[in-house]
Amino acid sequence: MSRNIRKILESNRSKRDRELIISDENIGSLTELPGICSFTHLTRLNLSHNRLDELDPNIFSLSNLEYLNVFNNNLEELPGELRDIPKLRELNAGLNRLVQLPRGFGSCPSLQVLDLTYNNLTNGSFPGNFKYLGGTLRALFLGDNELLSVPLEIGTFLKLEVLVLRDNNIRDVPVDIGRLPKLKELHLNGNQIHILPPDLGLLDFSNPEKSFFRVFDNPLIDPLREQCESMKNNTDLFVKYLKSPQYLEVYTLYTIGVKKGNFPPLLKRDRSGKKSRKTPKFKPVEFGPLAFGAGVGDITPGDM
Amino acid sequence: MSIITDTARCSLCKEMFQASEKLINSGGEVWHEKCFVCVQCFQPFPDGLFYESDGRKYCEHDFQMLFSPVCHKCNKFISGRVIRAIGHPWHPDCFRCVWCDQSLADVGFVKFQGQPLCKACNTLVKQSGKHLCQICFKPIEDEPLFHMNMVVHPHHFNCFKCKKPLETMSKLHCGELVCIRCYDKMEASICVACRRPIEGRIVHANAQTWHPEHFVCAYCEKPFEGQKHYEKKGLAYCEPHYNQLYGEICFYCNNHVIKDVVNVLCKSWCVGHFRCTACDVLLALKGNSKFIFYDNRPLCRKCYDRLPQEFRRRLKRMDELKK
Ligand SMILES: [Zn+2]
Ligand SMILES: [Zn+2]
Ligand SMILES: [Zn+2]
Ligand SMILES: [Zn+2]
Ligand SMILES: [Zn+2]
Ligand SMILES: [Zn+2]
Ligand SMILES: [Zn+2]
Ligand SMILES: [Zn+2]
Repeated sequence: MSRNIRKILESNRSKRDRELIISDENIGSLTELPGICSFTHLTRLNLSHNRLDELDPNIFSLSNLEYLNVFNNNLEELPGELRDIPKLRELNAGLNRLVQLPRGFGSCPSLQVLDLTYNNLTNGSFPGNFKYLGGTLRALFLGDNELLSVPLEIGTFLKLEVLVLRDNNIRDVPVDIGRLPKLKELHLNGNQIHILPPDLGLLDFSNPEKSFFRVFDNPLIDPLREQCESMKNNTDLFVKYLKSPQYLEVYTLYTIGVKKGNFPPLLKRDRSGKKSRKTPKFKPVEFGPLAFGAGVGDITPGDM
Repeated sequence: MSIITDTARCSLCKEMFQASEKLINSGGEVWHEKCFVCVQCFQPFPDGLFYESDGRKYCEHDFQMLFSPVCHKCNKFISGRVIRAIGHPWHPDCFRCVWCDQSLADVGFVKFQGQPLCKACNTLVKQSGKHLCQICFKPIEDEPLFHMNMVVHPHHFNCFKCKKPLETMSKLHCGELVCIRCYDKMEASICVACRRPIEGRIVHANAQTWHPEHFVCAYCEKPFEGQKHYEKKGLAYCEPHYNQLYGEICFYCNNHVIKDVVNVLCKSWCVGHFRCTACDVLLALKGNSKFIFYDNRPLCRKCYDRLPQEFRRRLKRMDELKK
């Protein structure tokens, strides 16, 4: 343990400082921070930019922790004990090598902000009880993962304000997203989306300063792509277009009508350079028709 | 005396005189003392002075009452020279220019707004466009008061509130004239909610005044009763309703931002909660400490440089695609 770390720990312990930041200190394991799991006075712990490849399950003894930041480490998994930290409101585990979320993770009682950006998560990575986070979660960051579709039961995340699904391999946008009453930010860019359900027109994106909707960099059908381009950043106008009779006609045409499935080709993307993939456990879902056939069902018109 | 008494008869009653009786002789006619009186009031003439009209004798008072002109200026009877002008009689000394007070009895005059002016003043008044007060007929130097269909000096009226003569500026308040000072005070103490004057405690807020019981949240209409209120667009709200309608919720603490708010990336933060997403360093909007963002989350420069090169390349490409 470096003298610097010892000083930081001692100072924190003696002052009972509720905030501890050990960022960019080349920490490879929590054992390099002796006694850290007994720092029950902590409400914020930041271990970002280190080399951690696992978190000590004893972390759950930090009973007052509200904020845990392990951004940019080498974590391949998270301890299931996180669910036993009663006040944990925000978890930033972005930029790691996560392949799986621990079983029972959905029962984290207070989680409001969950950042899993830039990992190796696939549709199979979520525990069965993930939906129960819907009772508290305000923001879900899943950009730069390996999702083939939006995680199931997103419609139960009624408190969700921010949903980031940027840069995955998602083709199908569930109609349920249009019924998330508080959703103000929806990042869908960098996927394989052809068409958007008219139900997204139900979202209230009328306040331009507080709403955000990105769907560029997708193989959108021409009418959508044109609208998207002509309306640029006017999220409100775009959403209004989605619920217009004019778009309903387009949508019907491409989903059950004469143009059914007449979609532009998927976009080629090379994500082999992703840092998170440098893990033996990760087997990339190869990009191709087979993989999609397995991950996405036929697109059917939503209940409109 | 006795010879007359034997033959003469009273001019008024035509009766004979008694031998011892006092008789009054005037202008070749004689009267009983009791008959030599004013035909109007039947009283003897004071100092023997009487006035005749149509052969009938009057005391001075009744003669003037019945036949004398009354001066339009001083309201007294005019005996002697009468000036008749502008439809009224005047004492020569009372007929003066209403502006400069010069006597007009022997010089020409001009009728202006029903009042006499000397020629010089008439020219001046016409040039200045001033009004003549319809009460004192003096020109109105400052702002005239238009009241009861008259143009008058304000000082002829008293303030309804303080009873002092009105000054130049005055206002109508509920149909009553009040001076500008009292008006300001009254206006300041009118409850903007019920429009009635405030007698007791006054709540000042938003540059307006309220009865304490009428100073309420614009949303729930409950009185603040001394509790803190928040103002927006000229309306006052209680804290929960201000927050409900206009409050910014901090993305980090999920509470209403009480003081300064950081509004960027479609979200709001308490100033103390606007931190780098990765390393927690406090970010400032002002100054040189610029931040970079991805997924609408802020990153400090140092943390951005620590992102995988591959990711940073894509962020740049995303930026270009957005445009
Ligand atoms: Zn008389
Ligand atoms: Zn004059
Ligand atoms: Zn006057
Ligand atoms: Zn007054
Ligand atoms: Zn009132
Ligand atoms: Zn209220
Ligand atoms: Zn805050
Ligand atoms: Zn940082």
